[in-house]
Amino acid sequence: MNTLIALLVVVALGLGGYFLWNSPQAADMDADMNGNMGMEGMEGKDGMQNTTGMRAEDNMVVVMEQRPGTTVTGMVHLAAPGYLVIHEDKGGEPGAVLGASALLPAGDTDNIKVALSRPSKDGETLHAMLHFEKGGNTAFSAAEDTPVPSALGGPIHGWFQVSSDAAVDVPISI
Amino acid sequence: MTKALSVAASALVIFGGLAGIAFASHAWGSYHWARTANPFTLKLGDNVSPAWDPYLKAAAADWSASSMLDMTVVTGANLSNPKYCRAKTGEAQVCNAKYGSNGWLGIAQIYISGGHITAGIVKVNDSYFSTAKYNKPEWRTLVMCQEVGHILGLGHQDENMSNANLGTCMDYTSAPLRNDGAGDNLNPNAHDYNLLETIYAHLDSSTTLSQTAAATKPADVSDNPRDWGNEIRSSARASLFERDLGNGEKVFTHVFWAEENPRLTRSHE
Repeated sequence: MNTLIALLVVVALGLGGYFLWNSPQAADMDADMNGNMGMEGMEGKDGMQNTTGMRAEDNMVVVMEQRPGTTVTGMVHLAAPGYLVIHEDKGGEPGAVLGASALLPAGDTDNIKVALSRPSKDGETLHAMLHFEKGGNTAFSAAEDTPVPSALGGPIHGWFQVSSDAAVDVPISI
Repeated sequence: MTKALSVAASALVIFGGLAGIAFASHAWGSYHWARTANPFTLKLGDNVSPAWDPYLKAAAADWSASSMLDMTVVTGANLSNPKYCRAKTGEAQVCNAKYGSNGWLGIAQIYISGGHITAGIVKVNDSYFSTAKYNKPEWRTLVMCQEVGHILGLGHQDENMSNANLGTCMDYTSAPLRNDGAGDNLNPNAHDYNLLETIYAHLDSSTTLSQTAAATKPADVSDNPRDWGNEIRSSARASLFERDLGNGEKVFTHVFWAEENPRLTRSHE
């Protein structure tokens, strides 16, 4: 009996401490201890937040400004399993495929990494597009996995810029 | 034995209270602007087109109703290229453009250093707001209010678009104007303001806010209504004044009248 009571106390205090530690005051303590509260720092500390909802459509893609490199990070909401696919820019519209994510489940997925077939370059524009999985496999096929249609016409897609001074891992909310 | 049970019961009560606070909160993580005094002033960089200006001003006024803060609309840092909407330290930049058929109406980004917000970006997507479905005042009001609210460190009160409206712009909805008993979803509600009071109850040893606006706040100079500028909104018990400080800077003053709005009373006479 005493063991059970002791266990309850430990669990309760542990959870209480967790909630306290996640308060704004705790964040301040963390900042003070790390000594990086200055206005110069623009780097993100935490990763993207999970997010759902306030969408205009049943499917959504968010890829913010990226640093040059061989990967692109994004978040999506999918009505059915599919892929986040990065395309070249061709006259302001999506061009050839540069890379695709692993198969993503329906719903929200954030912090998705897409490996590119060539490094992205400072100053260029690329496009992020959603494709639904067709055929029941788990690998993207441009010929088989068709783009997710948008209510505005054409596929669900958005452009983003590649910049050497882009911030990384900036929390986003929709 | 009785003492041990008492300790266990107390611990559970403490836990229950803490959990209740946590679950009732709709803060965005523990993110907040660092500042050394309250109320603080957050600048909103205006990079939006004229069609969006009234909604940006309305959002600034709504959130300035909080006892913890004021928002001033200032000249944006992205006027030459609002499409790319870059951050400016100490401010929140607000931009609109046709960002594409990407599925989102509005988006908020916050830059974090040491747990503190150092800059914010709000983007509203004209690819959708130029359509008949979304090119409506209620949708523009809701989305601008919500995204600016995120910049303060607030999350969503609810993320179900199909349930009853909670009467706050921090609630997802498919019908912003619908009143399910708590009011429409166009503005913040008391729960939002209460949470801001909780988030910003403490003070920090330094600030992440741009500092120049506070020195020119009319409210810091005088309580004289002549310093408040033009009355741009009024109701029976409240008025909202706007004063243009020049250089694109404006100050909003909320007045909650102790008795019926004397200006309305005069207009009825």
